[in-house]
Amino acid sequence: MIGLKGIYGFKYEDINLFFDGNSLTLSNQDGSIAQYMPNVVKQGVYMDSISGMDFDSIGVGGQKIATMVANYTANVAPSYDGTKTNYLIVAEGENGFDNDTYTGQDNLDLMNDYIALAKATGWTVVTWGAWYKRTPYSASDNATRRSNRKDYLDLAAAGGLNSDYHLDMRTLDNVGGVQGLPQDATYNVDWIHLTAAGNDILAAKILEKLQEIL
Amino acid sequence: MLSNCIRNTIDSKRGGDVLSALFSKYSFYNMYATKNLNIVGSTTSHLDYNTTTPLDLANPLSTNQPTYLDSDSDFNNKPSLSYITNDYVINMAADYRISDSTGVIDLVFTSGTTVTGDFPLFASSQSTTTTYKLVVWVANGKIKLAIRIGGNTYAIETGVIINPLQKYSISVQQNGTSAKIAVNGVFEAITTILITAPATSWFNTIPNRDNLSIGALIQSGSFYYNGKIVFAGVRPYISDAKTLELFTGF
Repeated sequence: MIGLKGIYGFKYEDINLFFDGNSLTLSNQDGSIAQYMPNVVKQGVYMDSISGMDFDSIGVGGQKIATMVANYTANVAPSYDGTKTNYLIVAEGENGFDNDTYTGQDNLDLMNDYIALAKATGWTVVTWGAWYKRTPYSASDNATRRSNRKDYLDLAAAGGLNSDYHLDMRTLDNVGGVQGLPQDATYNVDWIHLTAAGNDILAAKILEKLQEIL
Repeated sequence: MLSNCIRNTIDSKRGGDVLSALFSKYSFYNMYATKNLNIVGSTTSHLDYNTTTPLDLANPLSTNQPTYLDSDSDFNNKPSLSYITNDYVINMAADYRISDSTGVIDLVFTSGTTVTGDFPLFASSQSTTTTYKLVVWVANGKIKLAIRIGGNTYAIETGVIINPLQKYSISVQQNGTSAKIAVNGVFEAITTILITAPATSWFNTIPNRDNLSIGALIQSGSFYYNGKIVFAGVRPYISDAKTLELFTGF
């Protein structure tokens, strides 16, 4: 049962939500607003009527985890607020796999570098791994890269990340599923990006976790 | 001042909402929330969630009427009462909780534009003297509990700084051994200001009281609150964890 904190809105004012990632965080491939998915999560947490909360989302299309590590000090650390409970929701397991030699372990190691920086600042870190790509695949994709990417998702799901919480999105209804499923126009813009309806499912999963831990 | 007849006398007082559930869950002796008011002209009655032996509080004069706001964004769009100048609500109850050697007082409020001075949130006192009282107040930027029994006083305050125009939830407890004060769900370090009365002092050690009030300390030379108060309650002490749980939920 909710206590005085929730009844009178203390719960929401002392939270700082920050999203970092790639185009899946940016989530505007279908023409909807930039940072669509994080904003859906924000509205769920803050209910939009609550003032005094902190929120930002800086996902960039095409961004690799190596870039995110390099930019952490300049772009993420300054948003940490020592007077609040700080949650950093982060994902990248796509763009590094643009060559055949980048392995799942490579991505895992870089993600852990990022997480180490974030935890040193004080963030509670929530990571998530995406879903399998759908057919038809992009022209630059191939079986090796898909296999390496799967390795990363498996390693992360098996506890390989040092984040506080990790979400494996391969189990999402209508978005997840096994390798090689065909795109569904209701939820997929292309082989990986989601429509607003797909992003709503993704946001609901993240919101569910936040409501559990807030 | 607001004129608003017969507000919230049926739905919220007799159950169904989450505040009623908290009242039952924590066995409050008396509990007051700004959702549960009866405002008739220049009189605001703060209705007790205890409907068996209720102690409703009301402003004695029109000039003491706190200002009602139906939906206050400071409190998650719940109703609020603002206390300014000499606004307060009171019940002239004799020796409130005189048998209680332990207990918890809970309050949710915003501080005023200044916290420099003495601003009582909740009190039970003798109205004609300064010598019998229990008062919880914002005092010079701290949360303070003061108990005076004749010529003796037990007074403690938090180390945490209370800033102007901020929202707080506090719980002041006596477990039979010592008093503690929690602010926003955390027990704060306490400084003892005066201890000529025992550290175990609570309602049972303070005779000769003739009132229970929110927003004022009514005594010879009264003090008044400056800010909003939306919740006040007195309940039994069970454990430190139960004291904090009211804030966080369960």
